[in-house]
Amino acid sequence: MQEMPFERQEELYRAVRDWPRFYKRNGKLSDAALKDNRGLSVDRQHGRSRTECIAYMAQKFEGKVFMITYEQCVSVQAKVVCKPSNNPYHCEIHGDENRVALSNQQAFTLSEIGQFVCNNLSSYKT
Amino acid sequence: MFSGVATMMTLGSIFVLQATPPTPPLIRFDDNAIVIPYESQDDISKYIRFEEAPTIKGDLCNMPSQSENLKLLDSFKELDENWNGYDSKPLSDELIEKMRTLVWLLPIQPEIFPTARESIQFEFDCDNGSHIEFEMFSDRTICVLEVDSNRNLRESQLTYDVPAICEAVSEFYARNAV
Repeated sequence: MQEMPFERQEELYRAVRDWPRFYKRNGKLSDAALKDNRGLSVDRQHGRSRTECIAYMAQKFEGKVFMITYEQCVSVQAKVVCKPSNNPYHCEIHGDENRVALSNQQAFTLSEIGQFVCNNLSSYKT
Repeated sequence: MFSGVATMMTLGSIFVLQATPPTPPLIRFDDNAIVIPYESQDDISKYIRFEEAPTIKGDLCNMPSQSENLKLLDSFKELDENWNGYDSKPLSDELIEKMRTLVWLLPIQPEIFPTARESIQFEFDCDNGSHIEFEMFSDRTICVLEVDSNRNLRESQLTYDVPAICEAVSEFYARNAV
């Protein structure tokens, strides 16, 4: 698959298990769910519809899908890096050019501006 | 019959026995409670100093209880490899135990979350939108993020120290008092 440059409004998706321990009492996602030493793994939209993207993720993940856009990542000075593997849409959101993990400020801001676009991945499973 | 200390006074040739009532104990213990008899309450109040609690803006009733948090921390021991679906690693038992101690000692209970950085995060929120979180690592490093009511973010670092954390939490709520 040929890698396309990111579009500003391109959506990036992160699966989050539907366990109470990942959510705050007010229903929001804790930024703790976006903290990973190896960068934040996401699936990029890459010209697909949102439904196609979610259905693709449903083959591997369970729970909900949290979405942030490429532009939102840029707004917190994060760097989105394509890391295709057996998943051709796999990307990582890094803190910056030299730092893989997001800073606490970046994780917090992304948790605030992102949104859930699917509440139950299993309903998309084929 | 009086059972106090009797004093003897001389009035002319008549001896009068004047009895003073018994002095009640200042406090007594009764069925695991401290009882302050009515007669002692004025005296004892001289020795009691009540600290003023900060007025806290925020619905603390919505915060988890200590026992809920202890149970939650125990459940973190069941987080195996790949607990978040993205190849995350389990949290160390040592870190979980350290966090249990902290939960015992904190003046206000936080919301607690695991991270895929092998750390545990404690979060405190106020209704005015202010927020403070402590991300605690096994090496005793604590990354602190504070967000004020104007959404200004400030990061800092601490070394694991229970009194310092308790103080930071108390100060956070005092700053955001009504």
